[in-house]
Amino acid sequence: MRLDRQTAQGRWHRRPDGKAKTTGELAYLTDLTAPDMLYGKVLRSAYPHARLLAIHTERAERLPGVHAVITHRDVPGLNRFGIVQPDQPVLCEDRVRYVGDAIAAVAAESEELAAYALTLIEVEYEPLPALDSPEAALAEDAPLLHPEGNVLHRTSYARGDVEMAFGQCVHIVETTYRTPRQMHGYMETEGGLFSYEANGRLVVRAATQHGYKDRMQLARILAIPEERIRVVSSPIGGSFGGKDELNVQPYGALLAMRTGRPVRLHNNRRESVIAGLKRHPMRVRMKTGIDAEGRLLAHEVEIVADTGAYATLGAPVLNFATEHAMGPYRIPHVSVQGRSVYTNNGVSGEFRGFGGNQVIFALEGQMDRLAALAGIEPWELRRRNLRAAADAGPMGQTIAPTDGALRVWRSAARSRLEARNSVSMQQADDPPWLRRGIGSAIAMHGSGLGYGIPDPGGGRLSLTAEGKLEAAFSFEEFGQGIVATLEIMMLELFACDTADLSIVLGDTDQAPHSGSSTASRSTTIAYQTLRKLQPRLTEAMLSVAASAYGAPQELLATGPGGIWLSSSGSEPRRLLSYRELAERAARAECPLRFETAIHFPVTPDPVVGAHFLYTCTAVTVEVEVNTLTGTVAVQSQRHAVAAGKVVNPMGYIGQIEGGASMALGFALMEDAEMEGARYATENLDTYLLPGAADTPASLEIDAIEELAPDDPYGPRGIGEVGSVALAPAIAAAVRDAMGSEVWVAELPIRRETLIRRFAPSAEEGTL
Amino acid sequence: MQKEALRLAGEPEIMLPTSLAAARRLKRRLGEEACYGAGTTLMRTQWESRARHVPRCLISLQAIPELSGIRRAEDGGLEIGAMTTLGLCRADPEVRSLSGLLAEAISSVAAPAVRNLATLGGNLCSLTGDVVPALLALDAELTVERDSGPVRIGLQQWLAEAAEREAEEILCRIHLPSASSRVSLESAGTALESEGAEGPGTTSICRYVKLGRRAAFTPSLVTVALAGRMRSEDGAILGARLALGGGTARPHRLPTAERLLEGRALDARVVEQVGDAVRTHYAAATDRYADAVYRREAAANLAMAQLWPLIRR
Repeated sequence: MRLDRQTAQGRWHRRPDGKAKTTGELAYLTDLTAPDMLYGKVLRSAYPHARLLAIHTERAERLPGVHAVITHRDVPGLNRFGIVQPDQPVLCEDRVRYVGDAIAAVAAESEELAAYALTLIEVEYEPLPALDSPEAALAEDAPLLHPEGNVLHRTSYARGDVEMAFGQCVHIVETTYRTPRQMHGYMETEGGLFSYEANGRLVVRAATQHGYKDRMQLARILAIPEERIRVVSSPIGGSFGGKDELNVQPYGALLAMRTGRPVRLHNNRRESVIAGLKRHPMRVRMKTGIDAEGRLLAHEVEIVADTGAYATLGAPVLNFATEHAMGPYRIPHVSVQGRSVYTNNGVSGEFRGFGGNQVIFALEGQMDRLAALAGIEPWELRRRNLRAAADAGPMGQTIAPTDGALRVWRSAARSRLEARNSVSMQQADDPPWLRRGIGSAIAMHGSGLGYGIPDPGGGRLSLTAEGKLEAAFSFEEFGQGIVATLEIMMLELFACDTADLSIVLGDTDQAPHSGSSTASRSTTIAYQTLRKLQPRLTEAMLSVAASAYGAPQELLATGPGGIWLSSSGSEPRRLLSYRELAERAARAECPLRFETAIHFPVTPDPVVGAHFLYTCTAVTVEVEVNTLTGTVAVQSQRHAVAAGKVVNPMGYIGQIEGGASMALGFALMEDAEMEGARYATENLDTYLLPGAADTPASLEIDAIEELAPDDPYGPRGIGEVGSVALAPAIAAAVRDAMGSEVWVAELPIRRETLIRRFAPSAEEGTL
Repeated sequence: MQKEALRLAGEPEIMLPTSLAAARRLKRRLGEEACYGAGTTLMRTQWESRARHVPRCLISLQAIPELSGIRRAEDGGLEIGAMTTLGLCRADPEVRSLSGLLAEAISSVAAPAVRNLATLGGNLCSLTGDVVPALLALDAELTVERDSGPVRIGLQQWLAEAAEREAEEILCRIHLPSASSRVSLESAGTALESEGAEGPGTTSICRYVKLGRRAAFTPSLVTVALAGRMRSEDGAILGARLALGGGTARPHRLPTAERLLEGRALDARVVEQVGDAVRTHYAAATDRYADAVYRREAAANLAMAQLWPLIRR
């Protein structure tokens, strides 16, 4: 189904938070203030790698208006954080490992004063050599950044006999691909308000993608019970994985605890760049071979990821990359080896696509190279190797059956014809320096956290005292459109009006544990939770209404504004409003409140990190290369996405378009380069993100809704899949435009490789 | 307390003189501790990135009446006050009718919100602004206030003397000669041709192209500006001025290429010679985002691509 406003019809649901966001009216958590509030600032390391000899805070403490200066000595609990592996110091004790490492924090009466106070803190460093690349960190004589060594995590997956199989291959391609350190680039930088409620509980209002996890980590740092902390974590001005890990929360909480006053802390862009997470730069070497018919026989992969100074989710990202290095292809002989390497560079962590983007770029590059070598049309080569519906997952694990790969392949085959026609028509009028081409790529992308990682979810459904049908989830709204998605699900389950709804998100006091708003999992969790709870709430509501009015329950139904009675021979009429129903239920002491805990669907096979639910995508782009300058402009993009039923059409388009725009930056311009383990671009005037003028005018989405017969898992996540296949499609299109001399193996694509000297005399044929 | 904190945190104290003389007195008195400020859009990014230290005092030129306004000069040209914002300049019908090149160049600077603060004078005083190559191609002149009083000076000379400038000098007005190009505005990269100011018999050539790191709101990697006329009867190029800039490169004219064009009708060979001249003589910058080799090649290509459609076939 071509997904747009027309085909969506009545389900084209304007997002309820849209207007306030676009007009700037919406108060984000970083917009909050409180009476008597202090301002927090964090002192970060002056060196990417150094021993800390001494920290002198006296001068800062003496500055009038400064209320607290804290160092590692002031952390009452565990002075470490990290979602999986807490190895990052909240405040460093004796060593700093990257320029974002925190050494001290200050609370003062104004932001400027806090900034000045930081300059009065004297830190004695003994600089150490900075390990500024995985190669440097893996050298035999490299100093150890952590007691267990400089390798955070290794992966190894093998099946068949790769060595033997390469011997049987007719064509083999071996290439090393490199991908950039991409920045999330959210508009709202990290920050929030930290204060105490009258009852003495700490309230943390700061962006995260998992409020309960923050609460757990903060309790561990502050050495107080989790119940003494409330985390409010929604709405958020963008995250994309970048705010999943703790960022400023420990400092705000510690300063509020120390001063007893509300503390506001908000990173400026430079602080955000230096301290924040980035996408793992990866070096991916692939050696891939096919037989004479173009069937993949052997695939050998070596992944080296620069994970930076601390663990955060570096290990799961590498697991994901390992699993996705085979793509949606049948390959009998496979060997994948991965290493995630500690360096003194900025910390790499979670980022939309989660390690898939890098390896899919490499794998699809391999497919195009093999196609050229074997003289097989590249899309046809993919078809010959595509998985079938009942095939096992990439690591041999059982997965929910899916023929999504074949369906998106077919859709893209049609797109390729359209794109080719469009390019041919435009070429006739082009000046000699413009070259056009088309390219496609295909991918499958797992959702959920994967085998072996607790992935619980759940939520609450209730009729509130005010007569609102309320869905409560601990998810965060960070632009993905979860509020609208929940509204649409609720409207369809209860046949009610939007005015009857209340959506509660992102508050550990108000919503039960739904798990993280990550890994393309929220829609699936919400769908399963609501499907489970709605019959119970409806049954309970109708039962209360039936007994109150003596009406037969089977003639009652939920509807707009309340409970409706339909009897034969007369028009249905509203029996009572939701509010009246809530009052009756209260009198009858019949609680209309249901909560459930579920688990994200997971493979039964013990393959750590392996996924069970997959979304498939194929992308086709048209590009124009201006050889005068080597500039690549993407003219159109067509996405085929097989993710089950479209719940929220506008949100779906937004996610694909947004993901694709990030991938465009990844492919063409973004790289947070480091020099000597320091960021070379610390603000958005030098680190350039694509703007509206860089994004293609034309975007088409073919949403393939068919799932396997009797599929019980509901809609699949689409939060990441728009970002994983665009870059290899662009690389293929550039090659199509430029001819066989250009193979892109490194992102972002450099203009220098595509510029060609303009020769007017050759054009005129005069010389 | 807050003012003190601002000072401690490195925010300058802002002074708002209402006359050129007062501004110059302040600067003389405060010396290195103060600097003039116009829209301060560039300066703020430099302070933020620590490329330039924050002065103790910022002498804002906003309140000086003679630095604002756009008026027709007696010779038919335009006088633009240095403190005129780029946004106002771009929207001004006189500017647009006199010089499409300038309006085009201004449109390529940053983004609308920045152009509403940034000034034409500020863009020039940065010495590397996107407008500088356009004004060089238009043969603009400047009025500057010096110890000796107001002085009118060609832009090219003013740029050449930038290093020895008096500390208190203030750029007051930008003069656009009427003969530069009386053309209507068209989109970037298209030929702007109409009856030249010299009267019938020539058409005006007026091209501006900026290559950035992305499609909009971007610093320039290479900027090419070209102005001149083409004689209708034989296609000979007259009065060609070609100026180049980009990145940290100081924009400059390219006399070698201009001489190649002068009086000659364009053919592929001439265009290629101009390309060679650009590749050889363009003083391109090198930075993290592009090196001089690339920029010279791109500049040569862009210059040739501006001329190529003008070849009579």
